[in-house]
Amino acid sequence: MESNNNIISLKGINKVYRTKTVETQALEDINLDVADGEIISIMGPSGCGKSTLLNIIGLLDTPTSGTIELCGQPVERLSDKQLAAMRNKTLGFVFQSFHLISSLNVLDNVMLPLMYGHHSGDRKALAREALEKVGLSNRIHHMPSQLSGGQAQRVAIARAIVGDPKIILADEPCGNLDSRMGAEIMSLLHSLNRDDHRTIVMVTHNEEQARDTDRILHFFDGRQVL
Amino acid sequence: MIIRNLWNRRRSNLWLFIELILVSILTWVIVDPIAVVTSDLNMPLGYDADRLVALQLNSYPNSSELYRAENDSVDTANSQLDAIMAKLRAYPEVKYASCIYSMWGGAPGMSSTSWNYFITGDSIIDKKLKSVLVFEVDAGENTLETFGFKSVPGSMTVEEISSKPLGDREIVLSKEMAERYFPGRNAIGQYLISNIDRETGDTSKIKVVGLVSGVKWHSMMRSYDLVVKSSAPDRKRRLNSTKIVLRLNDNTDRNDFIAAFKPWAAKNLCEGNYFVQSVLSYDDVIRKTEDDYRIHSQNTLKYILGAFFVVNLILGTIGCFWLQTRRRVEEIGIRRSFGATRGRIVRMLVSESVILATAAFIIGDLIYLQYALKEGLDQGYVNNNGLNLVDNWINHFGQHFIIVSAIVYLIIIVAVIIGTLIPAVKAASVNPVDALRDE
Repeated sequence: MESNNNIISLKGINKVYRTKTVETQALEDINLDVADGEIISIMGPSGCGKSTLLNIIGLLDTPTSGTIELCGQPVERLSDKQLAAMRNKTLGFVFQSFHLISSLNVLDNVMLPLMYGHHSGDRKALAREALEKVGLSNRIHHMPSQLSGGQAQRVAIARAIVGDPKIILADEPCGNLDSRMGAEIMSLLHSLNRDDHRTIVMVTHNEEQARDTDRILHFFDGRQVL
Repeated sequence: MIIRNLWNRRRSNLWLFIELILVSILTWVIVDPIAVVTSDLNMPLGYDADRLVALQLNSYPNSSELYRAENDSVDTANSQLDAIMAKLRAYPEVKYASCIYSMWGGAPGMSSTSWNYFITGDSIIDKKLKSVLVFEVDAGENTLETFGFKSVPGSMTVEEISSKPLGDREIVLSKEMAERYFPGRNAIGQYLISNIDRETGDTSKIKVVGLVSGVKWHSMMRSYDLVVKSSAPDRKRRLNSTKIVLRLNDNTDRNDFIAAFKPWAAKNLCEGNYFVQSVLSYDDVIRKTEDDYRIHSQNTLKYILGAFFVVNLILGTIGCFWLQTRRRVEEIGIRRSFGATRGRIVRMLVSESVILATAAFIIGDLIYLQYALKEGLDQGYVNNNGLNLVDNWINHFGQHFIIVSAIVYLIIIVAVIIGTLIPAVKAASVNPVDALRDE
């Protein structure tokens, strides 16, 4: 998709993992543009490079070659501090295994991104607002171990949106959930896309969930095949 | 946020906290004696031992063919000793020579008894019996100069004190003793009341007429409360085992002097039944005394054991914090995903550890303080000989506690920072993706 309102733009992305004896090409010449407010799915077999691509878009990993632009800003030359600030302001992550901090309660987990940015407003109020949006305002003092999988993922989504990022990256967000909870989470992500105009890039194995998105990208052996 | 994190992780932190309290107490137990020993060793002697030489005189036994019975009377021996002293004082490189008749604590030159005092200025301020060390001098012997006692401003000089006999109701105090007994006042002209006569219980006012610098006699000691007084008029010289201490001229090399002096002494200092048994530098005398008391071997053992235990405690502490920090790699990955910088992560982890260690140290320190108070360590120190030690930081309970506490805190904090900083820097440097995979 060629558009001048691209919020994510990848050009010639390659990712090679090297050890002393083996060289593995995880991504090969990936070009991708995602428009502002779009929701897309990335599909493919295990090990095809989906998560690697998501991590590169999320600035959690660096490509071996190629260029990335997020919100029109090239990220190659950004310092660790600038990358951290961009992750904090622009990106929100939803992981398959939730990655909630077990020693923090729900409210503190959701407040986490607010600790690292210059966010205006009352942090607790913002976190409560985000939890309300995902329907968990009655669980703010619970610990992660006291939550079901669906609840934990909703907390993770609240954490992803609390800093009001433009982009949400979801790595198999329903992968550890049963179909009913998975449907709830997908519904939540769609409402975030539809109502809040957030751009969502999602990795999934589920064809049905993928069909509901604007676009599906298929990957195989590190290459985009469709 | 840091306090909140610590509270949220209170279950896992509790064990670390308890361990740190124990480490604080143990480190106190280990560090304290080492601090005391080190302080004692580094306390200056208070006199100049560098140019002192000690001669050991002896007299021939009855069985010796050189023994002469006619020389064995006290009067003859005294005059022979006077002749020896005259020869020594005339020796070109000898500045002062003093005959020493008594020993205390293995220290030649130390006259040796303790005196018990009621202490008073204008009025009695302390009725406790105080033991002090007494250094007896004879007028004209220049014993203070020989040992290198230093004059104190505002007092008679050492030379003036030595030049005329002290009256039997006059004493000279060490400066430190004077400051303790007459705080904020000029001690000269003040009186002490002494229970000199134990049989009748009569007490006498004794006037302080001068001050001299405090001294300790060798490295195992600390300075004691010291009184200089005139020797008893009826004191008899010991006819054997008499020691003579020489102070050499300023530019004289002591080793060269001893090399040249020994043959001269063997030839010229045999008077009556007297002969020179040994000539030693005063440093050798000190060293020999210390060896006799096994000071160095005991101190070395203390240092080795102390170092062993402290190193083990430090390694144990580092290990615990290392593991604790390593367990948080996934959390570090999560925090980095949501915008934490490496520096912020490291600062957070180190701050948490420092706060935890500080809180544990304060509790451990207070526990040790309770023990110290219960043992009465705040009531002042006396040494094994019952003598009052001069007030320095080691003997001052408050200062002692604060200084050793500071050392203990420093050791713990350094261990905790090392134990946290290295794994924290490593973990924060890991790619967030790899950190998130850490289980």
